[in-house]
Amino acid sequence: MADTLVRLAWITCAVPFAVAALVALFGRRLGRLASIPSLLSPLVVLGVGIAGVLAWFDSGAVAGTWLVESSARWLSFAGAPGMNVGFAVDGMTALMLVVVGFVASMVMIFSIGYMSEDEGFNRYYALLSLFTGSMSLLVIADGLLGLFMGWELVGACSYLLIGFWYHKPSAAAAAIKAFLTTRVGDVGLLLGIALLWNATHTLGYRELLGAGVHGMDTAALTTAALLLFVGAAGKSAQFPLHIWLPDAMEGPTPVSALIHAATMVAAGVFLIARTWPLFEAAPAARMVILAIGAFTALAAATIAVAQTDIKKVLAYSTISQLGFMFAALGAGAWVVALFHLVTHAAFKALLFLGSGSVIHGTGTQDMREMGGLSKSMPYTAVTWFIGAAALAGVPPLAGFFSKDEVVRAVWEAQPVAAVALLLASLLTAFYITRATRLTFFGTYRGHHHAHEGGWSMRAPLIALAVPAALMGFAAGPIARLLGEHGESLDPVIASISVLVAVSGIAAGWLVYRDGAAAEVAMEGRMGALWPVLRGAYGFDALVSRGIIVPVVASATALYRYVDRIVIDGAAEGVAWLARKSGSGLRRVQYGDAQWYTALLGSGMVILFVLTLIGPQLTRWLSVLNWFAAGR
Amino acid sequence: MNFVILACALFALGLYGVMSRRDIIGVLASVEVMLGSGTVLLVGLSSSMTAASGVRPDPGALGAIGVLIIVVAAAEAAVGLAVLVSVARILHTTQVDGLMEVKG
Amino acid sequence: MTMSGQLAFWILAALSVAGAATVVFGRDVTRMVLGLGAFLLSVAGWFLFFGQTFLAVAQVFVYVGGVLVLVLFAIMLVHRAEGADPALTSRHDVDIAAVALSVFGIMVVSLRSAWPSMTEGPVPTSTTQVSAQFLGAYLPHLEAAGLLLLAALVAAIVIMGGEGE
Repeated sequence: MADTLVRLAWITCAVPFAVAALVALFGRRLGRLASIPSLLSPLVVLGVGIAGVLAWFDSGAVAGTWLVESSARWLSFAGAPGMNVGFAVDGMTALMLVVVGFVASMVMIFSIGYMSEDEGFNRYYALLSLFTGSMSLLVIADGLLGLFMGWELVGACSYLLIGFWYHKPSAAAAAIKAFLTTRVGDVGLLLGIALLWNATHTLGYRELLGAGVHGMDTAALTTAALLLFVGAAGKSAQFPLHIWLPDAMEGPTPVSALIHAATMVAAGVFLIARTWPLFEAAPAARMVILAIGAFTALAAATIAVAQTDIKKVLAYSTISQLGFMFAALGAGAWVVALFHLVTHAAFKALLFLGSGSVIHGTGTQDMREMGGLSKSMPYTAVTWFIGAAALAGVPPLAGFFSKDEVVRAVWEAQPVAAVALLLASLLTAFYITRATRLTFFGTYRGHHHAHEGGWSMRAPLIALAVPAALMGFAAGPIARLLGEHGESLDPVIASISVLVAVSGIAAGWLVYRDGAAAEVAMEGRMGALWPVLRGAYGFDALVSRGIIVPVVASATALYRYVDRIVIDGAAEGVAWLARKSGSGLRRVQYGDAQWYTALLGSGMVILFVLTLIGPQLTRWLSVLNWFAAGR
Repeated sequence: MNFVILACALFALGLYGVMSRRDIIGVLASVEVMLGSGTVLLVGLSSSMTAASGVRPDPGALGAIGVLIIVVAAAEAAVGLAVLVSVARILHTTQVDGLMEVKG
Repeated sequence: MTMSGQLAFWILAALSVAGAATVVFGRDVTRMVLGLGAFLLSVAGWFLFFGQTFLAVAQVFVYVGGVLVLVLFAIMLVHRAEGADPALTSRHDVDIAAVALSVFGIMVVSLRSAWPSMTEGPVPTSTTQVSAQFLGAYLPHLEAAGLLLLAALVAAIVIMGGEGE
């Protein structure tokens, strides 16, 4: 049974795509029922993922083997060798499918309640299905070509879902910003893929990561690895390509949970883990990844501290946690990075859905207008506490184990980076406690009547709280899924982590004792620092001034001078020529016998001249031929 | 002493007339000029070459060919002028501008 | 070539050029017909010049006597039908002139190899010789020419008479 499902892994793309098409076409007639067939998409993904996990353990869980590989030759015409596209499943694939399927299911169920009032209900579900299928394509592809297709498709879905409320100018702008920023990274990825293709003539994981990588020299390997990392950094919002993710919060909150917390933004981590032999052979590239990951983790954590929008807190938190994963990758601990990816997917999706529930209940995203929600929204509050504690790294919740392993792996590779990560952990505990206090404790400061959502919104919270709490104990099986062995906790690092988490929580608890008043006090006490943090160090403005404005200016100049004069001039010149020759040629056929006579005479003259110069012409042509052939 | 150049010039002059005349009568007359100059060229070249090369075919053959040309030209003129008169009756003009439609 | 031969050549040249130029550039119908007559007469003169007496006679009979009269008839008919000023117009154009000049050029160039060197005068041809040809080697051509003339005659009648019925 499991084997059969794994062999049919392509249905994880086909079914969601079909469902997306059907929902898009007939969803309007279905109304709110459009969510029911849509649920089929993530469930198929989840089912195949679970089957893959079972089959993987059955097969002995040997690293470097595949449960199933199926590919077709593509683009092989006119003597070109072409390339393979197809799918391949191993433990890592199965693990990712489980994550994607589970989170997507929860998000779809949650959205039934969250989006029930929305006009674009069926469009929303069609896009979610499309995203699920695209993410599966990214995961089950047997090579970089298929991965790239999925990569671009999830990017497109992300664009469409961020701009879901496209009538809001800010949402439309955020969608474009996300699309363009990730495009920068995608160019790097594409260049990296092209480089690998050029060097190895294959893009399939098996050949590429086996003989292909061993046949490349270090410089090419490092360049390719760095280019792939540029793509990964764009998708996973790492510095300096992180600027799109906070703005992406303009989309519906469940979308943020699915795409911008659990799955798509983790695709960069997945990409590097998937092509790990390449990065293993490129230590210089790994150092860059470690540096950027650690820096991003710390910087984003400091920004998250000062945000007042609950989703922005979570957005910067996501950037920070992705930084942790990249730091782990840079330190060589790709298994740990994937472990953190899985636990983070669980607790961050939980937190996002929790924030969605809060936003749904209070009608605002500003934490200063919340407070005291633990009374009116008990389910949300309890599940949020679990997610927050997991994020902060409180044992024995999921985040504790994975973060601890990240810190230890980085400590072994580069102690300075580990210190930065510990600092980031401290800030993480602080900002999530701050958010928790501002949102759920104290007195309610909003005007809206705060209320809990329906069961469709509560059930996913509870379902996600379970892995967020317990996933940490799955470190061993997850490592085996990846063909490695789990490692036991290092008591020293573990104690430091706990200490850091507790002190962060304590600091947050104490500082924000007074709720919103404390926020005002912080603004006063921190002086100029607070607005800087809240404004994310003004990096957006810097990018705007340093890149956008010059680019737009040069584009305008190009348009005005090159495009208008040269390109349009040429185009219009051609049109003019065609018009002129057309009106000229018209005379040839308009029935004027005298004109025909003139043409007859001209033709005679031309023939005569050709006859005269014919031999010379032939000689010149043969000289040209000689040049062309002789070289 | 080059009647060839003269005949060629006359031919080109006739051609120019065929192309430039706005009136069918002018065109037909110019065609006659072309025909005449062509015949002169033929006869002249034939006579003088016979004289120069010493090869002597029957001189009567040239005369026969010349007569044939004259006959064909006469037939052409007869039909052409008939068309001209007919066109003038129907269109009430002999300007070529009015003759651009070729329809069955 | 003799002195009188040269004189004849230049007189014929002047006559034919003047006639042709009048045909091509003339603005008056009557004068154009006169120019055409002069040109056709000069052609007959050229035939004589080259010793083709029979051709010259045929040219005068057929053209000057027949075709020219036919042209005059046609012009008178047309102008009666048209009832307009018989002035002739031309569309003088550089393109057309270039084409005509180029044709002239290629004719001269291609006939250069056949350039005659008139060391002795042309051999005169008698009517007897032409008749012998027509009743001998050129008999089919003669018959064909007769047929052509008949066809042209019938065609002219049909074209002209179509309106009248």
